Amino acid sequence: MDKFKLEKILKKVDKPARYIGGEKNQVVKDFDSTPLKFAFCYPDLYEIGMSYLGMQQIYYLINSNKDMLCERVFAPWTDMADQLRQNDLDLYSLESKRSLKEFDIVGFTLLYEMSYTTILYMLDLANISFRSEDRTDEDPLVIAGGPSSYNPEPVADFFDLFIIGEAEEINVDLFKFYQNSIEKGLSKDEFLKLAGQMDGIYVPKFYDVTYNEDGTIKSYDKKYDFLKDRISKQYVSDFDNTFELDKLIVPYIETVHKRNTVELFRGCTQGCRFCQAGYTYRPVREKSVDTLLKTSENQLKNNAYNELSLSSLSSCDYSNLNLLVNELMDRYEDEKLKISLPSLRVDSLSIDILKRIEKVKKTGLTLAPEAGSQNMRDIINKGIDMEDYENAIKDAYDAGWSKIKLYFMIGLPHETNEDLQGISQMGYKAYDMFFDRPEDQIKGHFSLNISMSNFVPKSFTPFQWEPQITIDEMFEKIYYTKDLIKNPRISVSYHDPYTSCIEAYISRGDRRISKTIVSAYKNGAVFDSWSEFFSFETWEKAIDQTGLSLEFYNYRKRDEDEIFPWEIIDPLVSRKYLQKENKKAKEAVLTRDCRKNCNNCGIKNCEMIR
Amino acid sequence: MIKIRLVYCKLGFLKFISHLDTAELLRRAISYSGADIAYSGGYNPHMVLSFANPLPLGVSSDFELFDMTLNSLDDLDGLVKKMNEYLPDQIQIKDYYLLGDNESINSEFSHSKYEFEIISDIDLEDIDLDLKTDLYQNRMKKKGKKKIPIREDISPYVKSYEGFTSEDDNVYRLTSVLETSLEKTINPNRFIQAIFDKYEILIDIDEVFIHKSQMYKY
Repeated sequence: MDKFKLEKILKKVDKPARYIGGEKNQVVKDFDSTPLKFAFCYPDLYEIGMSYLGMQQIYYLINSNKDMLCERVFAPWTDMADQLRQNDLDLYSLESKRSLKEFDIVGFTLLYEMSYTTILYMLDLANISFRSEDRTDEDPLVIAGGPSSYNPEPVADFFDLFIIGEAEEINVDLFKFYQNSIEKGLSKDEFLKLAGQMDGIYVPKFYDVTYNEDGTIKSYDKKYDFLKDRISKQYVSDFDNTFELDKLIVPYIETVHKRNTVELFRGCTQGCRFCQAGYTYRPVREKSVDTLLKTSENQLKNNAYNELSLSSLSSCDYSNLNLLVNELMDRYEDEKLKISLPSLRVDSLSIDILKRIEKVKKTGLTLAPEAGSQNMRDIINKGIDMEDYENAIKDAYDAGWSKIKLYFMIGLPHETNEDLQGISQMGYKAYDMFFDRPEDQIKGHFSLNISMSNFVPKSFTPFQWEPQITIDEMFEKIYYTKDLIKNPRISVSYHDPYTSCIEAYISRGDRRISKTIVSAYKNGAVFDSWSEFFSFETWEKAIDQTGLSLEFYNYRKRDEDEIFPWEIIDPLVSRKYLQKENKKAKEAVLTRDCRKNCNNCGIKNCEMIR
Repeated sequence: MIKIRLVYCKLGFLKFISHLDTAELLRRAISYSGADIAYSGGYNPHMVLSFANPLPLGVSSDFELFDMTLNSLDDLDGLVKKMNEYLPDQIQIKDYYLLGDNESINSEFSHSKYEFEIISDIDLEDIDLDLKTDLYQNRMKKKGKKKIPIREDISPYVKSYEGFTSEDDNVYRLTSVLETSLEKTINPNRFIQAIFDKYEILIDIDEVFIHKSQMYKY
């Protein structure tokens, strides 16, 4: 990398600190003498990616190996991309400022469907062909992993292989194996044939897909007998004794979060029927209080942040939360440490813990009842009732909160107008409860925001068979609900239906969808999760060009026996279980938290039972 | 209360960190050092720190200043050593001393010395440089809600200068002491642009390396 050119262009772009690296706790190894070089690519801006715990985890995991280095690459904003192109510079890594092309392995994390065009943009900026078949043995191995790779098919054309499951279990072994293959002089194809036999590795080009006349999938056929029929998710079994994140890279600039983070547990036992993470991250595995205290102490020392986030899919479900919080408060109360809980349950117990940790400032409180009526909450298996809700709200007011945000989802299966009316009723209830108190008890300035997002059916959930409603229907439901709320103290916001539509289109797509993504990118789509960039027209045009319609991917109720493209992956939760849950949804029957009683979701040797 | 003045450098790529982000980094270094720093009162207590005029983004420096107030102090050397341990190599505390009363940064320092390094195909040594009169900068000035372009002569604020000199082929140096006081602050980018405009030098100022080496009082 020409440092002079780089300095010049950094003076021409907005927020140049995004592109310089050099932060506290970054790891810089000697590039040329390290045998295996891995570029961790995050398909969004630095500020977003730096707050992603998964990146920090993989970064230190890989760098803890003597023979490997991991460097970071983020998507440059378009002003920087223009400068790179004008000056003939490749997209580069922050640590050594090397072109992506100089790495052995280039890995992308798939977090969200709307980031897929940005992956093509990044490969393009590095002058690496984004189709796997167009790359040669001279190019890096281009791989992907992360939560959205549970349906790898929409991006199957772009990656040489996918890592299915948790990085701690797979990445280091895979990288070692790749390094050996290079040293032995194996070609990329020879390597892929061997890698395809490893647990948790999916090489899409070794599987042929045939389709029925109606466009649904007929079969997946592996090209070689030695390959697996389905690729099973790999996960860390002994979660209390796995790689611990003792420090974080501390950015210089404002990022989404600037805080120490410990992961209390992985998985979630709530079983909300719309939530993919709730199924794909199973089983639940907790860390011990001792481990968490030790990690917290290390991070506090190494990062010098004054905030500690207790992270998980549903942090209040951590078995020893009380003990952990008390212990942390005892140890760090004098040091102005702020403890935060990123996810809250709608109940008094959660508010009680929150009350204890947020002693000074009662900023906004966010709760997610998800649905407005009891019937709909039962359909989605959100195990809370009005009593829980009212208790939570009452306790929040008593503790001094006055700004509340409520999250709901609209367009859920079997939804009726009564369910939407329930959203408004819950809003009014919170309003009434605030003011129906003796005057001397009313503290603060009341504000309530009701936020609605559109249901996006996801793979490996009980709702994977369900259609998404059309954009017009989404708007109808949004306006219907909005019109019911006439109180100026209650504001209503909603998620853009156009984005939700494209997200759904990709999320249950098959591998033909890769073409639509390429077309959209060529039509100008990039940074689709940024509203100032997202253009539905661009996507509509791409969908027209490929003829892969919204009717087929979004609006269609799938047959009970239909083979799904994502079923080349085995998330360990059985299809039979998801089907059973789908039926129970129809009947609005709850499934209990599996901490109390095993529901036989299909996971063998479950850590919860052991 | 004990007041301490610290001098730090800001070099390499870290010259692209903004003033506010640099202040935040220093705050973290202070908290890491375990200093008994004084906090302001109020609902949102913050460290009592004061900074010199912000350095423009993209300019490196060997002479950045800030003052901090401590409740108590036993080992200043040890404290600074801890801070430097936290800080990256390109931002390090180079000097520090105890302050008396009424010695604010702005009363002690009014001018900054900048060094400019310019790569040019034409011989800049041929230019008969005169910055004592008629050195015009163009900038936008806020007038109410609107911004209007203004053109002003900044030569009165150029305390001294030396250049262009050349050691290598194509590489030319200029040093100048510019006013950076509460009353008037000259931005070194606009200063070099004003020179380029005056002598019709067609070089992109983004290709000029600018370094601040010292501050003075006049």
